[in-house]
Formats: sequence, structure tokens, C-alpha cells
Amino acid sequence: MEEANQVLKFLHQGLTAKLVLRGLSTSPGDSHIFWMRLLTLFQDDSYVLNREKGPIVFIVNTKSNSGSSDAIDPSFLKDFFEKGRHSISNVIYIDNSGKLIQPAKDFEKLKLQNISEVCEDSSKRSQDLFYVFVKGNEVQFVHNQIPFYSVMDFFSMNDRIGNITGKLPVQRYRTIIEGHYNDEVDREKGFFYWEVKADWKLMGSPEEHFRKHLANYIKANIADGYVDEEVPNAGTSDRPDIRIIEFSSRQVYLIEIKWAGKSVKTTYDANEKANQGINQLHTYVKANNDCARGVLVFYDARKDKMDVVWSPTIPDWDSRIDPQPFIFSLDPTNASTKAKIEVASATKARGGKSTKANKKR
Amino acid sequence: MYLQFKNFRTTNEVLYALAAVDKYAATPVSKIGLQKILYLATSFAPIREIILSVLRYTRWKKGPYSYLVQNTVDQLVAYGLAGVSDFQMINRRSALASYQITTGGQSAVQRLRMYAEENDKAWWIDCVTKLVVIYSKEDLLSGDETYDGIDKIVRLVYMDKSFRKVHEHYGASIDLKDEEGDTHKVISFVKEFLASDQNFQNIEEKVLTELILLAFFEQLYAQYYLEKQHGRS
Repeated sequence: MEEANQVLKFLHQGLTAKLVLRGLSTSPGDSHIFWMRLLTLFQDDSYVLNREKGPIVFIVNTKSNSGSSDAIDPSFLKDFFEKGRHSISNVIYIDNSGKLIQPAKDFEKLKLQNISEVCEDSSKRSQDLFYVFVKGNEVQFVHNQIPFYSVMDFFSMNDRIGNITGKLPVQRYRTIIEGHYNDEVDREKGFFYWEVKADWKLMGSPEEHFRKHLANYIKANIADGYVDEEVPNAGTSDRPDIRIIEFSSRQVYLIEIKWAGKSVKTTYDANEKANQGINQLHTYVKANNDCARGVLVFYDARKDKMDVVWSPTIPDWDSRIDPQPFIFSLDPTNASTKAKIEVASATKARGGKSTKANKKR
Repeated sequence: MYLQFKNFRTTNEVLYALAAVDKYAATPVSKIGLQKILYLATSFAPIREIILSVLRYTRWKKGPYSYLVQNTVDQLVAYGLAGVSDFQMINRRSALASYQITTGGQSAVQRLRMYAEENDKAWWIDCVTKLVVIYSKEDLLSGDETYDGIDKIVRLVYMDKSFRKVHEHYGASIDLKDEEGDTHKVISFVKEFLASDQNFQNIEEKVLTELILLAFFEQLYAQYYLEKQHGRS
């Protein structure tokens, strides 16, 4: 039943539903208005023309309605950036209707520059607060150390519509995961993961970036289920990267993400990480009777790529683990160079020589 | 003063809708907007498990229409519980009028809400009206010049599953009493799923009801967006 799936999808993935489930909203209608007003503000010039100055953070006190002037307002935000307040603190402390709470001594000199700092700060404060972290075109909501909702590009309707509709059933998860690689990862479309391309070096915490982007892509494309990230598996303390639940059957699909190569902080060996992913999946599927499939998605950022040696070998895997793990090749060659290589390959192919690009193995 | 209405249940429901429009939009409402609020409140009523009195609508110009709702609002005007704020003759057979609750009407609503069953209906219609007002201001609808204000909600009503079935059949009847009706079946499926989902067990009942209602509005909005994108609207 398409409409029922769409309604259920919103109830599991929509921001308002998440606020209600976390006890941060007792009026879904008002929360919806609040979010729409924030979106409008982020799309306004008062933010767009100043976003290069760095991120901003709205800290929302859900139990307060004692604020004074409206902070979800373009003239307020323009002054916030242009009258130097942003350079002292990038925090805007507001009540549950978006009004500024003053004085807010705790936040006077607070600067939160990334999501880790936001999570850490949230651990020190009341659980009645949630954080809206805005950087570039991306927004992330954090409560009690956990980022619970994110929008990759608030200029796009994809997030809103993707929380309702989707084209593919969960069972077509392979098509969706491949779609993400082809549409976003390989083309680096709206998703930048290289820190130093010349050195084949990924940015910090690559797994987290891949998880977030893949989860958002699945959320927007799935028609008959919902997606969540890093939630406990079947009452255990294990947290698979991505979980998909099909509405009609309630069957669970678990995705584990791994990568190999270099990042700014570390270097990972391919055999070790890929096999670690499979071992984790074994633990997850064994603990979860509702699990229909465990899937490994492996991003290979090594310059010299070699096949992964599986241990245990594939025939010995649990039958619920997808025997064809995704191994996606990452290549920092820029898009125009890639295009030239592809044209050259096609020309050679026409001349009778097969030179199939090794983009996806 | 004692007023006797033949369809007192409908009278109460229309009054609740007028009171809610006054609360959230602070403007008069046309018969188009009023009809759509009551249609949505009835179509989605199984979410709250209540039954409203007007269960049969007709596929008419500009969406679902009930003569009973129209007669009732005119009756309320005659008794001074609602006022006509604007009246324009379009031609010999039709006119545009906007209605607003009067002080007497507000006082009647206050008294009626002292009865639990009436209070529940009033709360439900209040919730629906609030979302009608919110969504009629959404970007996609606010740019629609065919309709004004709350009337813009017509676009979302067209996306309602029960209405879509008769969309092409002018004059067809929409029976919202039917438990096998399309919207009713969708609501039953959703509620059944949520009843067995532990995450939703600790949410206060009215908050959950409003959240489910919001999800249905959002679903209509997404459908409208997709139809517009594909040029079918």
C-alpha cells in the first residue's frame, strides 16, 4: 500500500517525528512550522552571503518560551554576522518558538566548529536542549551527543520529498547502493571525501562521511521501509552502520561500511578491514532473528588496488550475508581527467581493444 | 435563548471549524475552504477514531462539497453565530461568501467544549484546521494564484486517496463512512504498524494523533509536489 508506506516513512524518518520520539516536541504542528522557518532562513541572503564566515549553531531550549526577539529572522541573522557577534560566538540560543534567550552567559564566547564539538558540548548540558548545526548547505540536528537528523543540501527538496516517497523496494538494495556510488561517490557530486588528492589521502573519519551520505541516499530512494543509523542491533550493544526495516515484513537489512587506504589520521589495510566487516556482520545477523540480509559496503581508496583475500572464504559465510560484497574503487583523478580517460578507453574499444575501466570491481 | 437545529451535530462541527480558522488564520473563510477543512477532518477522522456527522460528499467544482455543510453555515449566520464578511454575486446561480465566527459563536463553542465528546471533536477539528492553515502557506501552494488563503488547500485535497478515486467523475459521491474506503484502509494499516512499534508506545496520545495527522498532510504535499513536477497538476 503505497500511501501507507509513505506515511510510515515520514513517521520514522521525518524531522518532526524524530523530535517527538526524542521527547523534544509536544506539538508536531508547531515543530513543523519551526523547521520550515529555519529552512527559509538558511535559504535567505542573510545566511547565504555570510556562510563563508563559518558555521552557526542554534541551541534550542525546548522547555522555554521566555525568549524575547525573533532570532529566526533575516535581519537578526544579518546583524549576527555583520556586527561581529559571529566572530565571538557562533551560538544562537533560542526558545521553542525561535525567540532569543538572553542573557545566555554560557554561550557568550562559545564557538562550535564541527559536529564532534557540538556532540561533546551537548553532553555537558541539559537534555531539554537540541542543537542545529549549520555549515555550508548542510544542517545537522544533535541531541544528547547523538546527531539524529541531517540534511545534506537545504536548497534541494530531495530531503523533504525523500522522507515520504521513494522508487525502489528494500529488496532492490543492490541497485540503490550501486546508484549511490555511481551518482554521488564516483562523480564526487555534492560529496567531497578527499583531503589531499595528490597523496590519495581521504579526509578525517571517512567511514562516518560514507555512512551519512549512503544512509541519506537510501532514505530518499527506498519506497517500502525506513532507514536509521548506528542504532543498537536487536537489544545488543552492537551498532551496525545502517539498518533498513521493511514495513510489510518487518525484515531487517544491515549494512556495514568499511574503507581501506589513507586518511588524514590513519592508514587501513584492505584485507584486515574488509574481513573485519564480514566478521561484524556475522555477529549482527546471528543476534537478529529478523535480519534478512547483512551487506558489506567497502570503499577502496588504495592507489595500488589488489583483490581482497576473504577469510573465512565466501562459501563459509552465514547464508544471510550477501555473498557479493560491494567493493567500490575510489580514485582521486579529477572529473575532467576521468572523462578524458573514458573517451580514450572508448576510442580504443572501437579500435577492437577492450579497455574496460576498473572503476567498480 | 434556545436554538434548535435539525442537524445539531453538523452545526457544532461547522462552529468548531470557524472557531479554529479564527484562532489560526484570524481571517474569514470561504465556503470552499470551510468545506475542505471539514472534508479532511472527516476523511482523516479514523486517526482519532471519531465519527463526524457529514460522511457523504460530492465531487463538485473545486473538490468535495456537501450541501449539508453549506446549509448549516447559512443557518449559523441566520442565528448570529457566524457572520458573512464578504459577499459577491458571481452569476445568477452562484455567489462567493466568506464567513467568520461571531462572539456569540465563540461563546457557544466554549460551552459545547464542556462536554467530553464535543471537546474531543473540537480538538480534532482544531488540529486539522491548524495544519490546513500551515500547509496553505507552504511555498508550493502559496504561489498558486487560482485560490486565495485557506482555499489553496484544495490542491492537497485533490491528492487524498478517497477523492482521487472520483476525481474524473463529476457529481460522484464520496462515502467517508465506508471502512473499506481508500483513506480509511491506509489509516488502519498505519495504526496497526505503529501499535506494534515500541518506539511509539510512550508518546502521549494526542501528540501521536497530531503527528500521524501531520504525516498524512506531508504525504499529500509530497504527492502534489511530484504531480506538479510531472506536469499533471
